[in-house]
Amino acid sequence: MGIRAKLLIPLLMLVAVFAAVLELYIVPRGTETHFQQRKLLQEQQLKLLGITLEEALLKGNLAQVHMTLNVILEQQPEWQALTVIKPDGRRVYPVGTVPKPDDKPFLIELSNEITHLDSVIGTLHLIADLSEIVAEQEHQQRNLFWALILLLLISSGISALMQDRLIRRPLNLLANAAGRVAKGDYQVKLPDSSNDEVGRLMKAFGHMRDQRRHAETELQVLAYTDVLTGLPNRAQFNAHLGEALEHCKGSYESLALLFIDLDRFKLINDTLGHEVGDQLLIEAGARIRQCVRNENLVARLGGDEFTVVINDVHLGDEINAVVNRVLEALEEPFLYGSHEMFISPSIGISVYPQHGDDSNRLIKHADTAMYRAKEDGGNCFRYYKQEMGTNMSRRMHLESGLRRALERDQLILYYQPLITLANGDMCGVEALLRWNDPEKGLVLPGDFIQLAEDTGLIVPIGEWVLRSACTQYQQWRAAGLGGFLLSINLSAKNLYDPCFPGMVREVLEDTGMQPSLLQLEITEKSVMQNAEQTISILEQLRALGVRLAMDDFGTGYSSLSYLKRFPVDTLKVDRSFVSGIPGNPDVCSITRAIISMAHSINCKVVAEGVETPEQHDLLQSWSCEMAQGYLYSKPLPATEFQAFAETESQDARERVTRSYTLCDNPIG
Amino acid sequence: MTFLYSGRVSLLLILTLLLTPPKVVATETFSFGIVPQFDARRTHKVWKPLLMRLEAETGLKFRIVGSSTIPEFETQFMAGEFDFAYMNPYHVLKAARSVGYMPLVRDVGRTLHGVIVVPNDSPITRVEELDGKVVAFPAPNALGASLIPRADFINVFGISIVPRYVQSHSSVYLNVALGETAAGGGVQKTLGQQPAEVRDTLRVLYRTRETAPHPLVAHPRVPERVRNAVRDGLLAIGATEEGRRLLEPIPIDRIGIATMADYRPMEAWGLDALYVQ
Repeated sequence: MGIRAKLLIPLLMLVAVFAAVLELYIVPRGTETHFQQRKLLQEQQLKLLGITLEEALLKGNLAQVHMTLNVILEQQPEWQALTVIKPDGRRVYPVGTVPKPDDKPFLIELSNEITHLDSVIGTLHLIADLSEIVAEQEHQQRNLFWALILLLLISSGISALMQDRLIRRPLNLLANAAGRVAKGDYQVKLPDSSNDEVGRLMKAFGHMRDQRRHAETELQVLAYTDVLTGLPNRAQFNAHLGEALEHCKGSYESLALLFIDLDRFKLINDTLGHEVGDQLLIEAGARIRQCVRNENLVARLGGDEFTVVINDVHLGDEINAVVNRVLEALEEPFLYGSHEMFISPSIGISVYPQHGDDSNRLIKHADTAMYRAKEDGGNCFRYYKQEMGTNMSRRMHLESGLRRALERDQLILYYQPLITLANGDMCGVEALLRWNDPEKGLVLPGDFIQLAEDTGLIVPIGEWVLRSACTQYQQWRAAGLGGFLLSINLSAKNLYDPCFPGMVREVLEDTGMQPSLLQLEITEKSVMQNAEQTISILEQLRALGVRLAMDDFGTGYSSLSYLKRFPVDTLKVDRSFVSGIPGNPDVCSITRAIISMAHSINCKVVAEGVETPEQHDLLQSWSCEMAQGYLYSKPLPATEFQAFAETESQDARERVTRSYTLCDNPIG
Repeated sequence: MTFLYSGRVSLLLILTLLLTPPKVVATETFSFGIVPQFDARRTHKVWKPLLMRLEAETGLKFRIVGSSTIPEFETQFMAGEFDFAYMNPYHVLKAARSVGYMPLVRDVGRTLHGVIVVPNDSPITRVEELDGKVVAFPAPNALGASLIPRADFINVFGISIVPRYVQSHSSVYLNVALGETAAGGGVQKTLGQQPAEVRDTLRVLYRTRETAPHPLVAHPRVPERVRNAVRDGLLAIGATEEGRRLLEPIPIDRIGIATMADYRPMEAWGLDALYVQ
């Protein structure tokens, strides 16, 4: 029901009630009152008449009396019958019979005594019919009231018209406008607003519409914008790529899709915190943006992934130019407070139409190419090639396999003994991780450690390795073996993990492992990546009482000034050097130099990958303390090692009695 | 008087009189008093046309004078204030000695008399039966309606009635018709003027002695020539059809000479005793 009806219906009901009250109550009351008044008036007139007639009646001047009465009767149409009766009962007016009027509702009978000096000389009897006059009055009153009602109705009508104009129409307009605004049509025009409440509503609506439009625009922007960097987000990227491809299809143009992933970003984010990580992302995004022409899209897909869509590509050189610019730009260090950080990108490139003709395919291939770039060490770009696809899936297969490996105890530790070159005694054991994949068989670390590091699986794996090895060592100890070093490899990730020392302490406590019997190995490369941070962690580890060794020494870019700052006890010469002994004189010289330098900084030396007795002898002559390699033993499973160790100890006892040179006990 | 006898002045007067035509004797206006039987307006309506006609006829000028009430008029009449008058015979007789009004003309087609009426259903059949009863009269001095009948009651029938004076002829008839009085005195003319509902309830019980009706009289001071002129003029008017119509409302049916001898017999009727001063 519309407003008009809502307003009119009560009004009409009111009018109806009013009319009913009028008709049933007020008018009859009025009629009654009027009747009474009229009756009173007749009485008064009769009285007056009596006074008028007094003299004539007294004198018997009936002609006068008659004349007066006739005149009165003529003047008073309501007076139906008038008689004058003398006290003795004789009627002196009128002559002849007195007419008897019909019985009517407003017929009245009145009497008045005509007196002269207090004595009654006659009585006036009047029968008057007031019906007509009462009816007329009632009629008039009713007319008045109905005029009132008519006025009410007219004013209602006018009011309704006004409502229509001032309220209904604007409201309808507003409702329609609101509907259109809800659908997103902001072009609605509102009528010129008046200064009243409706006008206020109009104005308010107008504001709201504008605000909504504004908000919608903002929302659009937000929906398509990455909040952190201000670059377009994934949604925008997808939309844009779709449109761009449509355009290309139509115009036979080519486009290139770049997937840029920041290497080792997770590391920085974890070690330095999200604040730094965010700043880095913002800066990286800005730099990438500057490398690319305005008409080409640079978007952040999330995390540390960025993407570039290069339109209208004619030559491969164009793509390469952009990519190289990006690589250069991201090469510059990132400054945050006192921190100076280096990152590098892995860039994967797919091109339309060579690598696919729809968004999904292009994206997938660019992603695959990016992963390839990552696998190749990062800080490079790779174009998608067919075989990458297979590699990619192989990589993903591997990743999921590795996750399961940890859960399903497919990881096992092999143990390779270290021997003292001087006396041939076993002085330690290096725990080496193997993956016993049911499908692939035994998988070596080289094939999965990088993946583990990339995926962060290295952390739980590392803990597992430590815990397992220590537990195993304690078992051997309980079996009567022991007194030799347990050496475990760390990854760079562990070095940058502030929780790592705490975890080591926990494991030591849990297993009861003696810290001095535990040696942690870190590669030279990992150490040098972030020297300052590394030193701190190493010192914490040292404080626990464990030993530290630098692995693959000679292959990293270690600054010699840093070397003496690292709290390591042992340097392990990389197998690449050992394999050059004795064939390569330069290698021999370098190896001798390394051994000498290590000694000069109070480090022991372990030679890795000793395979020939010549190597053994030479190293021994160069005062290399320890060695490991296939010459002595390949890595063995725990049980086999135990057996080995037992025989070794026996042999060692025999050798002790034979030999006179005591091994420089590393345990000392 | 000395003025008139002055030789040159009288000569001048005679010359003037000789030179002016006899009809336009003087622009002297004569007063004409008419007894207010009716109200002034009606009196005027009745008499003015006639007098205008008379003026034309006689070349005289007349002024209607009258008083509002009959008694007043009577007083004026008796005082001789009018040059001409239309008055009832009784007063003419009464004024004969004091003023000596001279009758000129009268209606010779009628007589003046009264009637005594009773209700139709009244048991009274003879005048004698009215003895001791209440009888209505207009006024004590109404000649035909009151004086003559009362005189007749006393002098002709020897009865004594109780008069009630009800102001007007109509009242008399109403009183009788409504039974207020046993009988009432009026005149035929007024009886005939009553509405049927009144008139039809009455019957005439008695017709009084009669006399000649109202004369038109002249004051003696009026010159004979003038008197005659008026008389002749009226007679002349009465001779014409259209003149008769003028006379009719007075009422004068047939105009004729009036003499004092017409009215003398009334002197013996004993009206004086009943006249109220």
